[in-house]
Amino acid sequence: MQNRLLQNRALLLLLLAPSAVATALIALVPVLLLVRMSLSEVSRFGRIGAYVGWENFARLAEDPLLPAILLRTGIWTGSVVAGTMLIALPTALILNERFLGRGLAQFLVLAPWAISVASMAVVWRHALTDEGGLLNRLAVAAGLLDRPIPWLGSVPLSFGFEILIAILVSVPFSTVILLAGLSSIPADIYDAARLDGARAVDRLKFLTLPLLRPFIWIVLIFNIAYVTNSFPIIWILTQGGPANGTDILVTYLYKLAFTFGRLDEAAALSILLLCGLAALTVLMLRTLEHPAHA
Amino acid sequence: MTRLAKIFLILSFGLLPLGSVGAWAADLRFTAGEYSGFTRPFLERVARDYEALHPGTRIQIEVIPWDSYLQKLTTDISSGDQPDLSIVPTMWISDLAADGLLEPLDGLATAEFKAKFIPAFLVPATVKGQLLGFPAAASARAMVVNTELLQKAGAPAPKTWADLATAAKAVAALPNTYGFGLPGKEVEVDTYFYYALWGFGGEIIKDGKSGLASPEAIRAATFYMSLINDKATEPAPTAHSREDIFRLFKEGRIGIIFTYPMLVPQLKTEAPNLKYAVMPFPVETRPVTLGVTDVLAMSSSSKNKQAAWDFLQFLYSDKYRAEFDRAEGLLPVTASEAASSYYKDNPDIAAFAAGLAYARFFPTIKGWPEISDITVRALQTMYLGQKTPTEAMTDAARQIDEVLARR
Amino acid sequence: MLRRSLLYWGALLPLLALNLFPFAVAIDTIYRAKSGDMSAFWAGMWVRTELGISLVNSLVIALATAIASTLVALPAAYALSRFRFRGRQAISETLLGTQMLTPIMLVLGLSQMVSGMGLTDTRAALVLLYSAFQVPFAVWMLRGYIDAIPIELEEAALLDGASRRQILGSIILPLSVPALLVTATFAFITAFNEFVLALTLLRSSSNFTLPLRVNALTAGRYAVDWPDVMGAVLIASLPVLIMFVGLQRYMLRGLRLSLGAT
Repeated sequence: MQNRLLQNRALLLLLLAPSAVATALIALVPVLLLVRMSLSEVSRFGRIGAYVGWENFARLAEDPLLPAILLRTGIWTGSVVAGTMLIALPTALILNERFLGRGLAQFLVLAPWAISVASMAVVWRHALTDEGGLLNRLAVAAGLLDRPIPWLGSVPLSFGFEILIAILVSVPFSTVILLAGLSSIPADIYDAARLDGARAVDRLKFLTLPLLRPFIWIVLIFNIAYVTNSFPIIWILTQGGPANGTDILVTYLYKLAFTFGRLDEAAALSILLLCGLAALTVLMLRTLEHPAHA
Repeated sequence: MTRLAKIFLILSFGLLPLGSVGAWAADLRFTAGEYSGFTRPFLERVARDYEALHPGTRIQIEVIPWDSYLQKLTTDISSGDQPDLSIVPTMWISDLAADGLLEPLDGLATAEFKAKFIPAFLVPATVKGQLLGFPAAASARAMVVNTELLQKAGAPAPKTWADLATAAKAVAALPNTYGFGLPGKEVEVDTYFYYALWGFGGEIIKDGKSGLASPEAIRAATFYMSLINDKATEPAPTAHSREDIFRLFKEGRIGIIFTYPMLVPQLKTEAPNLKYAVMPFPVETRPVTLGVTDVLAMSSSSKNKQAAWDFLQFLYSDKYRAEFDRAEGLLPVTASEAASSYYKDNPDIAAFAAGLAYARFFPTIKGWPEISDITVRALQTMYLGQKTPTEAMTDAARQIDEVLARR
Repeated sequence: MLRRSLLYWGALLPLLALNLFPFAVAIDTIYRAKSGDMSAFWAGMWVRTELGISLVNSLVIALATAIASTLVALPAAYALSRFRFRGRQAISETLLGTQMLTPIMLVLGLSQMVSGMGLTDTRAALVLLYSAFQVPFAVWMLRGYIDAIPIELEEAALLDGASRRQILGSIILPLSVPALLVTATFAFITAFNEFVLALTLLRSSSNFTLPLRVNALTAGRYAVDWPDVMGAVLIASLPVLIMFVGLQRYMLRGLRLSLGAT
């Protein structure tokens, strides 16, 4: 009985095939093409020339800009993921409670999701550069500033705003996942804990957070992918400038490929980036003893 | 897991054969950068006119924002899908030619057709003695001043770079205005520096080496830096792109800018009350301006070269040329257009057109985008105060020399 | 209750203010520049920006992606949930791992692949790639949901002589509808807002999606009409906002069922 239902090799393959094709389409074919480019000499306009072995990787290793960009990518990923968690978790905890207008609050938390990341960046860019714009008027009216300032003038301020925007666009998704996790925790556990005299802080620390852990991991995994996806934010706000001060790996990759036309080195950098993320994923899956049905 | 890998391999290689068929229904593909909202409707109209006369040909027009044009062309070419005809900036020509991607046009063009053009404009698209394209758009830069602000500040219109510094400081002293608009973000940050570099007698590339470490270049860099330090520019140039500067100028907040002719029609519609004057760049040793040309070139892999050539000639008929140049605010590339009264009678346009006589061009060398980026980076570190002009320029020159040696 | 509500709203206020800020900037930019007849502005903006065609493109692509990715993912989700076989764990982890692949890293290879297939500048190419990128997430969501459907239902049907196809069609499919809807919604939003691939693969203005249209209105232009841009951004956000109004409760419930199984 169990056998008939659960073991049918041909059917199994048939069921898995469509997804396998789809995954191969994005995970295998482009990667193979990238590998070929990274091991060849590729001209400005993409003509693939002679096989050059590891030369492109060697040239990347000598790139004087890369170490700083690598470090900045770490800072970017760390602060965006941490910032997202720090905002999404309390937001989800609040939205999981009953209160007046919760539906509206939920809607407003989700709202940024409705604007594409690229458009979001366009709007913020305008807000940060327009001297007569809303941000400057509000800041002057609130007495924070004497006169309008260009917000994207210095590297730290630009990068800070870019991190803020990246956090804002990833909060809705993360909140939704955490909220789903929270609402799947049965209420009677809390009742029992309350009867046992556990304080709210303890309930959070010893009940909610441990039970939420698989979901926190999921949010982390998805967010790290999301962060590399937030390329349009940096590209549209500062294009990695001024003076490469806000470049992260993906913006530099794009620059290498499409501004400088060093397509072979860009392909090599893509491969390294993929390896890095693969290692990170494996590491996370290993540390994660019980992810939500992974 | 190995079985899984096998399945993946089989499936993915099953997909590859799909790759050999091109699916273009149109006979000719034509790409161009988007000069303005006018570009696409205009080219579409010319294409439809042509199709009406030649029912056998279909032309697909693709007008692409300049920001992503190079990227799209790269993806097209790397996948064997190069458009039959494209209008590209002259600085891409040498890289395209190095890959053998452009069709030499000497054989196709009659002497009579070549004689249509202003001879100087055929030079940038000639590589190793072969003509690889025709000028499709030409432009020269000039200085535009807000005459009202200058008057209020009691400063005469600048004739020399020293005048410019004085006038900029005087305008900046007025309430809520900036003297000189210096873009330090995104496109053309380096171009604004080349104006001064040339003005002070320097060169971008000299004898195959970078000219940025020369005394003239350091003088030019120091000049801009002193404008920033004297608060004669807008605050934080690295936060302002060229378009931000133009917007401030339209609002009447900036005294002096350097710009292209396309700004004039914008000023007329967006800031009808602004009092301005177009004038040549300040002169130190010699008059300078930057000439920019875009080139219409044909793909060497085109399957319909004869049709492409035929359409190219059609596009250069006087009627279309005049309409295009005037609507886009470009300068003439054909001798007959240049002779028309339109470019002589209007003082604004005449001031830009005057520069064509002594205009200088970007060097047409491989690796130019990288050299340009190194220069931008050097300027930005300098504007941010992270390096002195001398440090920034000598560092940039060293990096540029490395790029030049590599190519 | 009132005091608690005020407290919660107060705590959420900074985030909500930041969330609403882009909308406020957009509206402010429009109303500062255009006074008088606003309907004339909106109508003019709609024509000038050719927003209609982009809206249709985005809706078609996003809907097709939502349907295709969900349908492709469902059988695999069922297999991973019900079958016990060697490599099951490996497939699950591979799926989660491919979630890390993002278009920007693969853009060079993907654009080559697409033009090799002769699909450059087609909406089909985007549907194909968006669906493929969405499959891992969809499998993962649906699998969690199917895990929660008691297997006894299937065993009973089998005893009654139902075939495998009947079981899938008459038990699993109808029972999974809420999860299918949630999964499709996620795919819809992602596809509706995607930028990098659309930028790389689309050429003709008549194929542009909304994010691409907004970008084309600002990037590399000699003059940017900001009120038009902001108008386009607002219109582009409407479909998903409307979806949230109608579906957010449903979405959260479906998500809870999918994720809460373990």
